[in-house]
Amino acid sequence: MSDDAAGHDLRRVRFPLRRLVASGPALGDTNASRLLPVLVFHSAGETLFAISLAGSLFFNVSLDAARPRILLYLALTMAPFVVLAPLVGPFIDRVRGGHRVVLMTALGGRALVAVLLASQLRSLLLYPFAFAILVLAKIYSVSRNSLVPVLVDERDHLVVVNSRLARDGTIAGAVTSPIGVLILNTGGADWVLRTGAVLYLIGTLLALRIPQPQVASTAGSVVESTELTGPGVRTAVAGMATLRCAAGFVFFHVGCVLMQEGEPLWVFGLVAGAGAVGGFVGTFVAPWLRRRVDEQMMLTMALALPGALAVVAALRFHRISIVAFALALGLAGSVARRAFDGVVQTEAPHARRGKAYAGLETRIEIGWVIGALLAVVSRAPDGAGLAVLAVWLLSITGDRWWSARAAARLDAEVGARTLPIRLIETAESLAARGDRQQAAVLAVAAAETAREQSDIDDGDAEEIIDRLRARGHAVVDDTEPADDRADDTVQALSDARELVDRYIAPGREAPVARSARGPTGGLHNPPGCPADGKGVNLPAAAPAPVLEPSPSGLLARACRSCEVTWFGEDGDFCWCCGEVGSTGPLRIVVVRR
Amino acid sequence: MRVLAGCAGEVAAQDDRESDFYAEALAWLVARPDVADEGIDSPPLYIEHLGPDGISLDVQVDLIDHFDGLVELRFVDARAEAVDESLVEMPVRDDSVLVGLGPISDDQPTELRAELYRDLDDVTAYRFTMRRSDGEWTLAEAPEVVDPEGLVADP
Repeated sequence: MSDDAAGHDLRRVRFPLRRLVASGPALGDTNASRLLPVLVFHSAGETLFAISLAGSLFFNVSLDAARPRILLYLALTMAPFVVLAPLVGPFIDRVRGGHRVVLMTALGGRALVAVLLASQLRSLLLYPFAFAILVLAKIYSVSRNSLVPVLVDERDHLVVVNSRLARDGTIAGAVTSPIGVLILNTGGADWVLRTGAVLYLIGTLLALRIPQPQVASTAGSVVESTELTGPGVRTAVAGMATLRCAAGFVFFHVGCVLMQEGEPLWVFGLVAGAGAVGGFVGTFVAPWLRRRVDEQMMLTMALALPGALAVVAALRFHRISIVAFALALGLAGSVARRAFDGVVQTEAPHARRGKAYAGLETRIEIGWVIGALLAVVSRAPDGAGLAVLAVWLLSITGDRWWSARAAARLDAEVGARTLPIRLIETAESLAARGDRQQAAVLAVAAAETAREQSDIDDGDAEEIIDRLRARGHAVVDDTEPADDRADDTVQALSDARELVDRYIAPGREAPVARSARGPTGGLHNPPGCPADGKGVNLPAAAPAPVLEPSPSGLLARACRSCEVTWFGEDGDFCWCCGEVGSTGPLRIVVVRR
Repeated sequence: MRVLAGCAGEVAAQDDRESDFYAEALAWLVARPDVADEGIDSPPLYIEHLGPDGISLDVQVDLIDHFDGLVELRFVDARAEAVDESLVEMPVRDDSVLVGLGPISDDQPTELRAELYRDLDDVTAYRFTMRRSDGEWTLAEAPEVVDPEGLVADP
């Protein structure tokens, strides 16, 4: 072969790698593209780590003897989540290049521990090292998932980018698997792990190329936290955490049962492979499903699928049923991830900070650890464990389905007529949290919508709306004095509320007025209000409840005792009865009874 | 702290003694031509404890390390992990052997029972007698063949 020909072949071989690490927008998104090679090398390293365990003590020692140690280290896995994970987000946000540091620490840490573990695969140090790798994997997962949303150029790209990242990661794992098996059979498990360490290290170095994301301003954090604690996101987090919990449970439960049944190693590989294939297929199924149902329904279906397959596997625990179950769980996890991204994208459009995402991702990953702990502690027999899992998943599915139906029915009943009310209450909520500009704009929108929807001919309305528009302009005008803008906000909200109540909810007591009597968190909190708030301007009698929970309504708090709602912070005392009993932010629509 | 250290020391000494005993017995069994084949593809030798307490993880790891490269040991909690119960003869998986290791007696001379199981019709039991010489436990005499007790089918 001539030098030219050899050089040409070499270029052909090098091209895909160059393309992989190139800075071009492989994902159609320049910043996130830099993350792709990091993820590919991480996935490849992850695959080699899993393969190396085949040559470790894990499959030689008895499960009962190893159980206390597994339990101990799983419990220790929780500690970094509780202590470290909450620090990851703020670190990403506040420290320049912090996102890279976190990702590189997780990847570099894995490379280091993998090298240490390579010589300890047949000793008791396997357990601390393997679980250290697990902890770093979870921190990597939290930081990666927190980083993607802040890296994407366009918010609409989030789902697409995450799909592409997941797909390429799976392909990298699939390509690496035969190489790993080859190394295992020729060089041994320790060399598989050392090769994995090299891949982690390359990923660590490639993480240096990830650009600094634009950190959102502090002012946006109020809206962001409001959005991220909204019921849509909360419900999605609960769904994702449930699935991750199921995945953690299945990982250990099925693993233990397969060991107890004396299944050969290739069955473990087949089950793991089925999970990966399911995840890969899920990246294609999710967009197809999204065109037919909304994201919350996608999450519900993602919970139902493994629930149904768990019933089959519980009734007939067999290689085929377990492989099918693993496939379903992988698919469900992938679909749920896309749905979750979609929910965050649509319901929290202002969320751009790592801190906010790290909090959500931490909760989701803690679900995995809890599921794993339950599997190890419960020592449930094969069918029984899966039966309990099936019942749990299907009851959550049922609950979500019924709630969605009830919400849809409520939405259909109250329909667009409540839009002005929802707008004004959102405005009040935003104002209570300090975002005056958005509050003023929404107040104007609420008043205009109310006017358009009403059949009442009212000459005053146009005048009030004109005045409102002027106040709205004043509030968003940064050149105006801050005190004036604050007064304008309050007045704009008051005017808008008056119009909304006049046209949409005549006779209903305005929440602004009610909030004014609230001990804390309202628009007009009394100065020097005592912390417990009891006895402060309480009304003589609690008004009848006027608000109903609904996934498509607005944010507010509801008192467990007297069922009234108001705008406030966690732990606020009910403005009406003085009891501590707020249930946290609820999305509500107003219905008159 | 000293009490804890003392307890840990005692446990470690007990584990060492168990490891030595079981290693001696297994070495004798593995040396039999019909028990373990050398080679990469040879099936693992399944080990089950015949007592109520099981073999501690440390002892298991010691034994796996001791026989590394010679034979692969796989410790099981239940016989079903090693035996194909779907067949009438209930043979050990992969044509391998299940070794049952009994508890180590505290009497003198120290004895240990070990049983070899291939299928329901092929069970052999041995009694090993150990003695301590030069700080190490070794076989006092050739193991005695006895009636199997642990790895027999339930009546």
